Amino acid sequence: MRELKEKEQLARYLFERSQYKPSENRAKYSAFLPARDGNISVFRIYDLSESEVWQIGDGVAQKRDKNVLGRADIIVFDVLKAGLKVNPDNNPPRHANIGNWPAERHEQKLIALELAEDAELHLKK
Amino acid sequence: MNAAVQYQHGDYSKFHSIGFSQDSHILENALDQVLAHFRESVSLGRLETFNSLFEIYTNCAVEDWDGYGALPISENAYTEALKLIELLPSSFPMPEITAEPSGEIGMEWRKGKRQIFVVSVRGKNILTYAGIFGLNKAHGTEYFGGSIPNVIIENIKRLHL
Repeated sequence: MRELKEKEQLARYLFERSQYKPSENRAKYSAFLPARDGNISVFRIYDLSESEVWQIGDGVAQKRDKNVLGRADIIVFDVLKAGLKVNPDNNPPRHANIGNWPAERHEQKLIALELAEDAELHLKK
Repeated sequence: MNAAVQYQHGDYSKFHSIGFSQDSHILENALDQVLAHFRESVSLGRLETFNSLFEIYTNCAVEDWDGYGALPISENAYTEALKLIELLPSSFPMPEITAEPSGEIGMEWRKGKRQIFVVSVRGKNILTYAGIFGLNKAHGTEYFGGSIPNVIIENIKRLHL
């Protein structure tokens, strides 16, 4: 896989309705809070068509026994600006973790707010 | 199930469930609490917020509700969120409700781009909050006892009042 670029887009697939607001066309901060392992799971979607991006999402959903409802796209620059790190592991292909989160929940929330404000919501049709 | 429908039909009686599982009893208790709040005068906006909270609680009271290993929302977190919403001054706008992967329930007020404030509860009498107000930011924790801490009230006011 190629090296990360600052303007590269990362997709955060959404499986829970309360994590985005369609009427305002935005993802909520809760979509960007870290999981128990301290990471956020995202996929690198550079050079992919829209249908290919959704295919990845469907694959992720199938493994988790969920339905992908949408995705929130952010760029690497915004992640780094927030003091986080993008760690590509390519497992599965194109997968990366966003890590280096602070330990305090209120600090995590503030970062999640920033990411959500910079993110672009796409709903599955 | 829709708690608001029961309210509109004047059914304030205890919800009788035909379920026997522990999950069924948990949901029954949750609905009883919502209906107890409806017995008092309540605005339409607050009613809708209670409904939204109940729906999110029922959807997210299980492990991995978000597909990324999220913790379930506990009944204590749900009860604490109900209490916070009930204590909000009637002049305040009602928040958007969301579930957080840590098992907390989040309440969000947003005025526009980079004008947003959130407060979360997890049923342990601690409020965790964060806000962006243009170039200004706020974040921290506060004890939640019988009233909403002033810092929370003042941060909501920064957006709407």
